[in-house]
Amino acid sequence: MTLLGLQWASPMMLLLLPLILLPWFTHNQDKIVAWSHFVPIDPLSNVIGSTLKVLASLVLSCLILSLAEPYIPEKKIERVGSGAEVIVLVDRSRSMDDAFAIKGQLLMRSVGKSDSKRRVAKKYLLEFVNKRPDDRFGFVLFSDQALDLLPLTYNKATINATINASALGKGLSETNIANALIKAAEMYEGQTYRGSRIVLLVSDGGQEFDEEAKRQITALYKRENLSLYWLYMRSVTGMTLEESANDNQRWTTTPERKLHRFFKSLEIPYRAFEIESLKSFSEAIDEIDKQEYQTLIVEQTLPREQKMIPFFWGALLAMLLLVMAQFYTAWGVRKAHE
Amino acid sequence: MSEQAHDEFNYRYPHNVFGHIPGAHTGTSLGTGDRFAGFADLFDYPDPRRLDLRASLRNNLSTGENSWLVRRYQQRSPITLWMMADLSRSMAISNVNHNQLANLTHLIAHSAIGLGDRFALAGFDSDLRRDVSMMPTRQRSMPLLAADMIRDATPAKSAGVNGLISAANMITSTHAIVFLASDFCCDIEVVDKAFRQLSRYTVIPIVWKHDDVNHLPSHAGWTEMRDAETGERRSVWMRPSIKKRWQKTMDEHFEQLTACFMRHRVRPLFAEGDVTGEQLTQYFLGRN
Repeated sequence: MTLLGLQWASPMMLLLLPLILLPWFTHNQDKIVAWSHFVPIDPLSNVIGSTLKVLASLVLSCLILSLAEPYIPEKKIERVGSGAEVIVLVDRSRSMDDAFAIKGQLLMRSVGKSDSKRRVAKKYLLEFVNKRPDDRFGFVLFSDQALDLLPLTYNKATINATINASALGKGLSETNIANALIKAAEMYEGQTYRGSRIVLLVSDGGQEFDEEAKRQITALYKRENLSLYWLYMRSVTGMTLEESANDNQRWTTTPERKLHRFFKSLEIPYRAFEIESLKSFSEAIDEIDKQEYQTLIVEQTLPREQKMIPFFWGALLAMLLLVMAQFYTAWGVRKAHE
Repeated sequence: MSEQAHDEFNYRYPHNVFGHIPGAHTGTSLGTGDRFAGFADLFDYPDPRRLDLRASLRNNLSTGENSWLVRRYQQRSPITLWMMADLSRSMAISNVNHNQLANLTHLIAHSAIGLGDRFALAGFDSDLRRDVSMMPTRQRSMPLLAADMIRDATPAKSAGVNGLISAANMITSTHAIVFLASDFCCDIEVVDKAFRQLSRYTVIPIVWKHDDVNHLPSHAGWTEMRDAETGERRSVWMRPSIKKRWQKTMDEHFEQLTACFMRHRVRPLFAEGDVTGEQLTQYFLGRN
């Protein structure tokens, strides 16, 4: 039932509303005087009297209305925000447990240390997520299989929790990026196009895809109008994704370079960030953050909201005034009989 | 019939009463009495028992006549004591109630009948209350009956004290003391009119003071009031200015009432609570 633009959970209580007339009919405080002719006629008193009665009625009506439990029902609103829809693809392979490859330092297997790439990724991803209030995030964790942990959602708490959880434990052995990329693209399938769509791949290794996978990825990414960001967590010191003149001979055929080449050939907006330290990770994240602000239609679910509090306040304040008047009166009567 | 304290008071009627029935008050008629009222000739007034030989001799020697003088006396006569009882609704609130009125009635009736006077009752509210009225009587049982009558009186049907005039019309005795017991919280005009009608009699207004007339029901704050008579509601937010106005209206009313009493040469008896015989005696002695 709708009244005053609010929904009422127990509308039957509104039948009690005629009770608000009670203060206008009760005369239980009457004092009988011998001759009312003695009592002065005073307009101000009439005003005060009506005010007190109105207040009493107000208290009753507020209480009855709050008994009827007003609420604003849960509703979805669409608003224009700026941001993007992001699916984060995080590599769950064991190499992600390592620290960044730093020149002159041995590659160390330090499982689950705080400087592991996974921990670092987690930290900056969280920051990224929290920086962008209007974004819709999805989360895919992949190793051999891609696990679509979280479909696209606006719920920040869920995303944070998912990212936190993704950093727990140890990595798995295999890596299947093609599968993950397809999975990520599939998550956009059937969704209304609201604004820019991003797939954010966080991985420390490359892979060569077979023809079938390549075809599928190309078709999907074009159709869904996605842009791809690759945060490449460098695991080999000195290697770059781009070929250059003084490259180490061994690097030309590394899967990373092949993957990079494939991504470039996709004809979608693509950018790779090579990350070798915490600093570069955060810079990369900032860079993405800067670029991906596009007008976006944001759908928001407003939860059901109880609207009793204002009525309680109304009743409380009116009651307070009445109580004060009552105490004052009681004091006056006592004083008169002293 | 209820138990009564047989309180009494002494009263005196200020005028000479004419009447052939013997009573307690100084009369104008000559007869058997104790107050000497001169001599008369035995032939004019043939009562040899009252023959005054000494006076006759003195008279004969001085005038040379030969007559016999007889003493004459003024006869004492009775009067009637009327009780006009205000039974209006305002007489049954706060510290004033019908019980006090009934006690006063009993006191007056008992004293009157005890002294050989007659007692009569006229109750009134907005009209004359015939059920609470009594014609002049000397019966010894009447004081209790009258008190019970008042005590058991049904509440007034409508507001006002206009019955005061009709009640005053009821009083037809030649000589009477009229006790008018009321709170006098009414129009002075009605009181004035009643006094004009009662001007032949000695009127003793007994003014009952209400508690709330002496002090206001509230000092500060919201006060709702209902008129005892009309049921009219009036509410005020008590504050110093209202208090002042209220007090002023009341003072003015009682000043006017006093002025009205003065005009009619009556002396009121102000009462709070029960009126005692002592109080009335003092009143008649002129001490209050």
